[in-house]
Amino acid sequence: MSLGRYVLRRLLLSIPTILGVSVIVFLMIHMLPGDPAQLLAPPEATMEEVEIIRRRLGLDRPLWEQYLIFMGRALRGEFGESLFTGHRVSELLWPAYLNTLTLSVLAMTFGIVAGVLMGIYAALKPNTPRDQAVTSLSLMGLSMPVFWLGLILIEVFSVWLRLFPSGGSGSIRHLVLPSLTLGLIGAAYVGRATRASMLEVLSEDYIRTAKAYGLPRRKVIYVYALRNALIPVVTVAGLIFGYMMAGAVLTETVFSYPGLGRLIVNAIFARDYPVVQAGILVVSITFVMINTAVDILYALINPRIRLE
Amino acid sequence: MQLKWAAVAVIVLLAIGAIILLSPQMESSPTTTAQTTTEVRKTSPPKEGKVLRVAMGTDIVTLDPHDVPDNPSIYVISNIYEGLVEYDDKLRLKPVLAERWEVSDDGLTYTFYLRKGVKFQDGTPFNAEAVKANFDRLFNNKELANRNRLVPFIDRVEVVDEYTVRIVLKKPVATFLNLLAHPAGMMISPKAIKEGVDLKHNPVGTGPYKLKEWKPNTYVELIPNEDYWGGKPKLAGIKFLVVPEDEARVQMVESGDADVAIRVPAIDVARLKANPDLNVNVTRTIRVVFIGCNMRSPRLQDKRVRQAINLAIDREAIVEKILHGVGRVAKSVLAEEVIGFYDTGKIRYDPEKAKQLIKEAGAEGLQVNLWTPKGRYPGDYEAAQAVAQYLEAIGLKVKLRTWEWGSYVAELLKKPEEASPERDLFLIGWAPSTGEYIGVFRPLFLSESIPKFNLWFYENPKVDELIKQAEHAPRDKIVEYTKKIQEILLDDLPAIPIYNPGDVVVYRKGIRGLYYIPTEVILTKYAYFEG
Repeated sequence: MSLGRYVLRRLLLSIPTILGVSVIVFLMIHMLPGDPAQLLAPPEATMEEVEIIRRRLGLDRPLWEQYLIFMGRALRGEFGESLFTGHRVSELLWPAYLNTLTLSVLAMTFGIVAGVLMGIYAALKPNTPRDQAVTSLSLMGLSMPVFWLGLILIEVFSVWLRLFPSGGSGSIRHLVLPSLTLGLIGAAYVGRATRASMLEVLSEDYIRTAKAYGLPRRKVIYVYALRNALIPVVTVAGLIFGYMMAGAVLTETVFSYPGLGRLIVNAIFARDYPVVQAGILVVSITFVMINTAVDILYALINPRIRLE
Repeated sequence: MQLKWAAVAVIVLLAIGAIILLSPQMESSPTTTAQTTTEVRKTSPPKEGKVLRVAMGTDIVTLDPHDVPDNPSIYVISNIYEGLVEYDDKLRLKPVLAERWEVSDDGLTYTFYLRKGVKFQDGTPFNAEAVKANFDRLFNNKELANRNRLVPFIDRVEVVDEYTVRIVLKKPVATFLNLLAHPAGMMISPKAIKEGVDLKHNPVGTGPYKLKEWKPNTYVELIPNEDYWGGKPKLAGIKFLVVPEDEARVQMVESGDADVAIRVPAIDVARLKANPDLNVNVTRTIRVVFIGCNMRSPRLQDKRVRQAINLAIDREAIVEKILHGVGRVAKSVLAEEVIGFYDTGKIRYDPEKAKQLIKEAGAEGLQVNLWTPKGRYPGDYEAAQAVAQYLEAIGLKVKLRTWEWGSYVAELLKKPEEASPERDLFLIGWAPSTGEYIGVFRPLFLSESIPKFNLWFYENPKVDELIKQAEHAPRDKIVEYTKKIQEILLDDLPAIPIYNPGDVVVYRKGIRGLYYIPTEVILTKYAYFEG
């Protein structure tokens, strides 16, 4: 099967997934106790006034009708307006999406480079002090709360050293601390995956053969071993990337970074239905696309894997 | 080998650092780095023409003063819009767009003499017709959230001449001028109203600053209104930054990335006071945090149980230990600054008397539920935990439950017959945004406010009558009317006042003219940098 046809098929197959997600999200957010009209009205408002707001927001219509209106608009690339600020949802969503994408790409680049290097470094001399050092370092990275790490970085780099801004967005300097925070966790995951799979590959017959053949050590490790060892790493990296796109909310909150995760979480607390629905729809589409990209990457790294 | 790796790592880090430090800063960045700020300070002393950067916790909802439901929006709106009168930081009224006013002897007619030479930001002149157009908007538009703060009291608005306007009330309202100090009484350009401008996003007021950009979830930026009637504004602009994390706001003002931080956690006060670059302003608010009692709960029917709960709580300890001193013991259902406040002396700590009352009521071992939100008001969840322990100490059994705010509001606003049978005691706060008693009694204790903010389902015909009388009390006799109401409420105890939370605003040295209104609003329009 050609690559183009494969991609097309994968994308077509993802349509039911995305539709399913949209229905589930729609039902879940509407089943949550809480009423946007009540949250929007000032406390002194009367029941009648709350009812007026509810009608204005279109929340008095039956659920299926609200869903069809939402999906109908979504197909035209339009998601309606925020129940709270009245901004067009697309106007809120795209800047946040781009912000998070930039942050995730930077964090992921940092995570992969640092993680792969650390993983190889540890795998070359397994069970030595340096392996243990790397392993405990990555364990620390995995267990450290993002919140805490972020605040420590702000304290050191913004308050003491005054090197980077403590929060906000708009320049490269604003991206350093958040992508470091987010990337460290990625690095920890990638590092562990690389170490494990590198160890496995290094004990394969063909590596022994290559060594016996007298190939330079560097070439054996970085060309023959690494290429195969990277396959599970790509899976891990893909999953983490997807997670970052939706789950960077803690990092975004600590650094006041106007990203997608924060947008969606705020919208959930405010019961801003259109923003939540559109946000999660976009995240799930991204997730599906990253998965497809990972599968294609497999084939590029290792031609023995066929696209079927 | 190890040394080599370390060397490589150091070089890479240095290189990255150098690239970032050398990279040009984009103009659109909402926060400049501390370093740049310090450099600027060294070369030129702070003076006029700087932007005030204010870090606040949540984004605004709207820029329409007649429709505003939340405080952060009011912070921004009060720079753009002005009303006939305005509150100062002691909740005293002062004239703004009205130069002076007269009240008729029967208290029904208010005549306002307007300031001359005032223009809206779109060039429209401010005059009596403009005032009328604003009240017409409130009268004709049922969707405006703040309509009911004014409309129910007003019979008609008359234009006397170009700069004189008369407001005639249906019945005398002692605190009518206070109601006008609310954003509901702010003046929007009649031209913008007529043309149907989207006022939620495009404000047109008479204030010293006007909107440059509202970037959702990021910032709201204001620039000076060069034609302001009160002279050229002193700041080059005001930028409200959305910084949701409490500690991040603190760090921003410490590092100089922000000039003002709003809602700073009380626990940071002592440390920040030691910082020579910062001013720490611990303010009072007129919010009362209550433990509400569901009057329809079979477990709370006996008045003695509610009175025992009132006496069981050591409020001083809550203020000191949980609020770290940022707040006060609540003495009534009204905060002390609120017009109509009266101290009944019924709030005290007497656990022995409380135990006795529980015994008399035969309520020993009674199991009650206590609900609380978490993070909505300063110290809410921790205070509820403390209350639970105080109640256990007088022989009750308490089941504490924490709620997410959206679900909590939905549950509390249910009709009595649909409400959860588990609703007994619940923590809730209230701050009258008009700073006077009508804004407390009417929504909280009138029986017709069920099922709205009469969350305790309190029905007392005597109180209903007294509240309605008090609304029309002569201005100099208000407390005579409100005293009786507060005595009954603190005897019946549908809502047990616990504390008035304080608020902490931290700002960098050199900033002047920043005011905190006890209605929980920070007023930035008079702020300037010391020259």
